[in-house]
Amino acid sequence: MDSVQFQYWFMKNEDISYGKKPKLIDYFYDSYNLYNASKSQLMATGILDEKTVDKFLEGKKKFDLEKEYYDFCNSPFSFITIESDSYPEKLRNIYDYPYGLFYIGTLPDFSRAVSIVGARRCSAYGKKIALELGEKLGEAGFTVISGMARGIDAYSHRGCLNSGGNTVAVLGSGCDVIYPRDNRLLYEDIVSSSGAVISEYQMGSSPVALNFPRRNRIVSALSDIVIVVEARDKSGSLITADFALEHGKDIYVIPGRIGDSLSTGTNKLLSQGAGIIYDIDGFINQLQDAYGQKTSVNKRPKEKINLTSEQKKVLSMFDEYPKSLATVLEESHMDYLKLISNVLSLERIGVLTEVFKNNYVKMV
Amino acid sequence: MYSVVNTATIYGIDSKLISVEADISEGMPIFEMVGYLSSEVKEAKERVRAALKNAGYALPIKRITINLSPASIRKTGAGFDLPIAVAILSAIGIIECEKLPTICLCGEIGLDGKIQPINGVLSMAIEAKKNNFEVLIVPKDNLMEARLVTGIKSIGVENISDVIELMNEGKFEEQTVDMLGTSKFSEDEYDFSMINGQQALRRACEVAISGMHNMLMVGPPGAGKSMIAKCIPSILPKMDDKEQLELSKIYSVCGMFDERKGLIQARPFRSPHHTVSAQGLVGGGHNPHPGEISLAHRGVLFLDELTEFNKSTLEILRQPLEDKQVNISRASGSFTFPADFVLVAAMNPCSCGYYPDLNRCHCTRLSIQRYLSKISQPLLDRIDICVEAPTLNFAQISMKQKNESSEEIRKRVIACHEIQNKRYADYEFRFNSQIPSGLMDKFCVLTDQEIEYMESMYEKYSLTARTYHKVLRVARTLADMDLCSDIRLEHLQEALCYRGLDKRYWEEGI
Repeated sequence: MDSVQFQYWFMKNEDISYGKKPKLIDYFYDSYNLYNASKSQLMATGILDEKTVDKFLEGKKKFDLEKEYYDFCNSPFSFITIESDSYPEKLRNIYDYPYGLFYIGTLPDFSRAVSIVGARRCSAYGKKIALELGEKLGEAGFTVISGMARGIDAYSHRGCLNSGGNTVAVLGSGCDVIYPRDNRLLYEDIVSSSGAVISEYQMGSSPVALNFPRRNRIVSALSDIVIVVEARDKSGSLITADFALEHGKDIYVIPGRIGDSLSTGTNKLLSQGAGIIYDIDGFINQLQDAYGQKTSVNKRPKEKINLTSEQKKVLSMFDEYPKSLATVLEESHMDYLKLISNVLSLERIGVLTEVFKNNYVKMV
Repeated sequence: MYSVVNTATIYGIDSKLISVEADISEGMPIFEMVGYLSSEVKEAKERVRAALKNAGYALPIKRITINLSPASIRKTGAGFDLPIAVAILSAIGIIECEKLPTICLCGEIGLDGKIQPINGVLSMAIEAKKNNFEVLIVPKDNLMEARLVTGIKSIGVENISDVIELMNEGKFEEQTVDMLGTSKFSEDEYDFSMINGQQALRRACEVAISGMHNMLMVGPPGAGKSMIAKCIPSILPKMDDKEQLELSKIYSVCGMFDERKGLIQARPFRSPHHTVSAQGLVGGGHNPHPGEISLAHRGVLFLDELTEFNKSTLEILRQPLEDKQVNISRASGSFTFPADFVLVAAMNPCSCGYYPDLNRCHCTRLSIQRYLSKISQPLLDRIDICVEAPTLNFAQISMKQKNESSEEIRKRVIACHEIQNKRYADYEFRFNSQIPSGLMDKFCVLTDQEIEYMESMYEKYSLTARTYHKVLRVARTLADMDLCSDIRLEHLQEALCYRGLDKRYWEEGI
């Protein structure tokens, strides 16, 4: 019998907690030995109590190694465990590494990996930055890692996919459970590109709140750098940042304004010494220098937008946060029709975006 | 020992003539009433008996049969007391009046013989006049209302003894009554000169009324949405006599008519609370009575907190919004109530009210989506103009400046309405908002340059055929306001800004 079958059996085992699995493998060296271990041997480890051992042995008897593994091989999903050589080296380095990961897609090389995390309820500005970061990092040959949540996470993945880069989504549910459901298209695009969706949880696990902080440690562990785009005061992204500190990764932050609730978390990180990204192109160049090799990035010249002086004036009245047409009208004392025609033409050019009924955000 | 008396009953907002027959014959002393009666009409028996006794007339110890015909119409209301009493008195010979067949009467009687006012006298008077009655006898308190209909002698009576005296004398002469304030036009309570700032919203209101478009205001709490809505009736043109009578009739049937002021002259503004039931909104009941939409006839129906309304209640609005009237079918018959109103609705952008200000709004995308999708697409499709209402800052609120008054706006609105009336003289519809999609090419002509512009916008805003037509209708109104015969680019641009709440704001794909 193949050792992979034993690995699969241990992956599927639900009697032993995720935390104790690596310890048992540490003790028995591999899942084959574990499979053949007697009750007394298992008790001697001191990791499991008697009740768990009985349950574990009972479950083992019922598990049909051949058939279960055969069924799994016919599914689009794969798995990888610490017993395998292709287990990401970076994961092994952390204190509570997972025994294995289920995944779908192709596991990329994690040697140049950057994770981007941030608020789910992000602003139009955050969305723009996440898309741009994802796209440029992907273009520069970095693997973009994130959690496939709404908002910043999803936009970073999407940005990376837009430039044809590799992106990896680490889920807090089973990797066959798409959460949130509106990200179905994104999920399918990640899988069909050269990226992967991974999860340490059993197939079919539902996205319970407890899973997400643990998921964040994998996001951090797999990457070299963690970028926080927008985060509120008590944001889950800050948990990722904590893990990043613990794992010794670099943390970079997109700065924000004082008083902007979406910047409280990020600005706090800045005050604690996180790196600051004030120029995305510059940041990526710097990264490439640090990694030694320069993957060819065909730098697109910034599109020159020609605006009339009136359009410039109108544009200057809008901001990075949503501002309503009526408010601008009151402030500017401009003619209503003139304002409307300028706003619509600016929107057509793409420097203004309508985020809600007659509420516009500047996009330059 | 038989007599017949004429009266009328409310049927929808119109009236129908009813004849009350009384027969007194030998037999067991029984007071019997037949003719498809509702319970309040059945109770008339006890009131009439007591009232006659207290007025000094004892009922004979005989078999009394009252029939209200035609029997196919269900009779409701307390207005039958007086005709029943008169029919009995006439049958037993206490009243002897030759003119009885030319008299129509109605009124409720108290146990002491006093005659109480009833609802719908205006409508009854119109019906009585139509049927060439010479005299209409009504409760004294309803006299002024009855007098609004000319060409019939209306006489007010205070108690049953008066009626007997009047009938026996046979001299039907109109008393004089003082009418209050009929000549004086009551000033609108709310006026656009009271609104500071909100230029965009003011403009949108003017556009909406100029083309009689329905309107939706979206904005945070405290932006002044309700205040603005209350001002809208003041920019509508004054009602003509026909419209005034039509509206007064509706109010009279509902018992909401203040007769001392004469016909209703001010455009109605109805703002039902969001807990309103379907029957309350469009009308209904066993014997259907008009609902809020009919009370807002020729005026404004304002639905504040649109999302809080019961979804199925709102859906009922779809048909009246198209047809400008509502048909209600019940076992007792099918009724049509007029409902030609401008719908003005207001809502918050999300449940906390501050979206898209992310510093103040704490709603998740899902909750915003859920909040906004409470309003169905078919209803949104019937709203041509959607506009945002921003909060004002202190400087704007406390500003002491002369704002344009409703009077000035109304002048422009009237001019715009005249253009439309002239243009649509040969058609069934009257306003730009009602242009059927088939006639779009005829009335909303675009040049090549504008077609090209709309083509690019069609894709950018993912418009549909329906929303595209809505934009064109509003653009037509804007052109009319500018006294332009053709729709120009700036009209299209402004109309695009008024297009409806877009699903893409909350159903953004990733």
